[in-house]
Amino acid sequence: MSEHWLLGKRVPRPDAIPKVTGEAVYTDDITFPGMLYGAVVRSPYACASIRSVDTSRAEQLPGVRAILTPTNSSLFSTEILYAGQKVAALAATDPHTAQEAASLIQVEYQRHRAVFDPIRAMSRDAPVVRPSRSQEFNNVCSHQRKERGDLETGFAQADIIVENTYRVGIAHQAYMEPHACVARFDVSGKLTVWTSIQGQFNVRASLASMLGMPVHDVRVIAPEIGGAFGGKTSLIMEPIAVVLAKITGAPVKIVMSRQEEFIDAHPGPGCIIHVKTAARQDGTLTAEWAEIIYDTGAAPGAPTGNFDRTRGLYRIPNFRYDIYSVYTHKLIPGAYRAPGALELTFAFESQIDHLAGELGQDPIEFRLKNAVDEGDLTVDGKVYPTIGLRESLHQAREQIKAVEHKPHRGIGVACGKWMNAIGASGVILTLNEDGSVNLTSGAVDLTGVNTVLAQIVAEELSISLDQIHVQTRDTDVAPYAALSGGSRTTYGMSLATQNAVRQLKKDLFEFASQHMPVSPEAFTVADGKVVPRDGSHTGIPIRELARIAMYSARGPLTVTGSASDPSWLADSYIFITQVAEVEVDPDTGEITVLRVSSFQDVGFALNPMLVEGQIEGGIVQGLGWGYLEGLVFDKGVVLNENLTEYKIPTALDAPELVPVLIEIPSADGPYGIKGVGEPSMVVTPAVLANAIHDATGIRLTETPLVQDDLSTRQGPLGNM
Amino acid sequence: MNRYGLKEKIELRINHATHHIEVDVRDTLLDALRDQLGLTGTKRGCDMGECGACTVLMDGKPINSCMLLAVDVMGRNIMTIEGLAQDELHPIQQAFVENGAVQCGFCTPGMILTAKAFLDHCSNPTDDDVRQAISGNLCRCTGYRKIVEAILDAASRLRRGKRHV
Repeated sequence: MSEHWLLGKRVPRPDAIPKVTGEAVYTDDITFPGMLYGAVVRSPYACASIRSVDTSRAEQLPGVRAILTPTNSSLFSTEILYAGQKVAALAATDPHTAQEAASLIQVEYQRHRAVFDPIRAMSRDAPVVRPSRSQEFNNVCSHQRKERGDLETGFAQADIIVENTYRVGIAHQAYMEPHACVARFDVSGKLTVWTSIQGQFNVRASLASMLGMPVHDVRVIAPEIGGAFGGKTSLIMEPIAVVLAKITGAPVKIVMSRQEEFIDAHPGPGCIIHVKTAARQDGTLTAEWAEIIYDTGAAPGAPTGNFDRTRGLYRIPNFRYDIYSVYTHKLIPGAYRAPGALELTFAFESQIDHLAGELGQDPIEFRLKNAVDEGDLTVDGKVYPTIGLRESLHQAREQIKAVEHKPHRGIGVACGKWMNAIGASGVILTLNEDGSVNLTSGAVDLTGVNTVLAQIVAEELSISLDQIHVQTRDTDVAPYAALSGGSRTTYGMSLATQNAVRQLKKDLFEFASQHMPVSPEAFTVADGKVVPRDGSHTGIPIRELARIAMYSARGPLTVTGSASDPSWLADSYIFITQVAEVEVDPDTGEITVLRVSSFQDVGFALNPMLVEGQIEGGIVQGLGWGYLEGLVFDKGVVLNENLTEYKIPTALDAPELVPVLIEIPSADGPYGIKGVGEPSMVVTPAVLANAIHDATGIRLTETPLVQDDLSTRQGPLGNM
Repeated sequence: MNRYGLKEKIELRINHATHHIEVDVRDTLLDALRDQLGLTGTKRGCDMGECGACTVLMDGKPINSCMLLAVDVMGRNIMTIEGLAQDELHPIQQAFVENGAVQCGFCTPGMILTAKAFLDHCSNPTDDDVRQAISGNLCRCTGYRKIVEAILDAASRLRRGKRHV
């Protein structure tokens, strides 16, 4: 790994400096003279029709400039499908007036029978949220089946079958920055939108389509973003801000309150997983069957398309998985860091642990016996290349050996899989006259990608990191890039940057050969200079060549780099094993997570400090979903719509974290990297449940894995 | 003017400078800092005193600026993140940068000011002391490990700095 001088080094993020001084600009930090503030009126009922909207009192409030309702705007419907659905919106001269006006809008509702549980929603007599795609069940939004072999034979061959139903609650990404956007039309009619989003080009396309405007008349700027985790991928408030700006002729800002975040953003989905897993006495898995039912709320949104991306860890010759998403009268879920992976991993890795226990086998040995290898097939029948599952299990086994066993403590293990995407990726590199480089990237920086792109350019040109200036954010300036998500950003953007900087080197070598008696192929770079490999010339500094080129017939040295993949996913298989150590208070059932160790194949860590940061943050987010978090509903209304009652981990909840980086290079990734943004949280609820089982003998099958379930049960706890 | 829109002229002492501004009586200190004074380094994460993103120091103590009305902080000394770095980054800021304690950065200003108030009184803290001190500041990106390491590192930098004086 020492072939690189800057890649693989723990380089601090340059963008950390404006963030520690308060200078970094986020969307809500942007204001304009004469700017108006938007506010939204929401339905308190989950299923209703709007009979009337009376805006007369709000209209009389000084400072109110425009009001949108179902009567005058197609943004709003008279049919309410979830509590929190937007009913009306307005713009006013200040936030206080906007809120006051919203409270003065009177809406008369005709309430209807609603359905909240997805299994109940599937029955033929359940209220219809939306037309069903199934002849057999109501409210089916989607259904797919994955199968191989013969299920009956597989179960017949088994000595033991374990059957359980797992429930995963709806969890909010709870990024610290709520959604915010500002919309402004200039005199020529061009629209500019600043928004807290993972991909500004997606917003441009959606708004252009909605407004019937050409994309070049829509400019979208993504300022610094205060966390996203999948929750900032689609439009939420932007269309309202844009229409209000259009009507009033003034810039309009809308910032969601924390309460609005909890009732009308797109959290991670709820899911029910009924699964049967079978094995022989010797520990060989023979069959697995599961019915997976996602609660997709009032519209499609549940991540049902990632099954192959996250399953397929073990050789199971016979399987059938039915994956449904089902409409209910609840808010619409969306992507949350490795969408679809955490809930499935929780269920299937609990099953593996349960089976190992029933068979009296060590959970790691049991997994090793069945683990897939190079040449085995994925669920969808693709062939695995070299993968890191066994290596991560081996390292986890060593970790477990070192743990001292104590009363009331438990150790759990679980494995996970994820695959990163690539996505359309474009960059522009411009060599400045002082030899520094401007890198213009179309990708939003969530994870430190701008830092590693700068590392790549500096590495390849052998110039110092502070000579690379990364700019991004603006659809009018940057080349196209897919949104930052799917663990794609560093992978795809590094490919594009590698292509660009290698082209820049080629151009530099060609230009240099005009100034040194050396052919272009014979050059290399060293210490910021273009030098012949054979040492026949002392070389010319890159900054000198940049300056000469600019004022010669050659012209400025500027290149572009692109990458993409029509199949979206990279051939990049990321495996993880985690080990959790917990203590469960025998009297109260209180769970204390002592330590989580994570053994993740990262391919190659371009910047280990940033990779660790992703893994550590992901583990604690996974712990949150595992044992602290979950939206609580009453008749479809979210009850815990604040950060006091919806508890995300504090520094006191976060355990000791041990991120171990395994480096098995990807075949096609730049420098062998694999995506690291999402996979770390995939395993954590499962490993926590397995550790709690080890401590108490109780297998919890529902998130959040709460204390009540442990403290109210006698027996195993008393025997600890 | 609507019935709630009363304005009041107030004097605020922010980062050792005195400001005379007119606020809506409903404005919080956070509103005044961000909207009137352009000090947008103080972040609004919940507006309910739950997340700590809006933490500023009032007479040296960390407070949630979203929970105080602007009209109620007259005569108090307020420090925001913009007032921390002098000619160079404060050792806490430097430690956050170098230890990888900053990801999205939205909790960072509040987290750093909480750490400042804490380290002003506790020069040699343990890991647990630090966790207790920052337990009112939520971070969703880091899992807290590198933040705790940064604050411990900052404590050691500050101790070294004092010895040299």
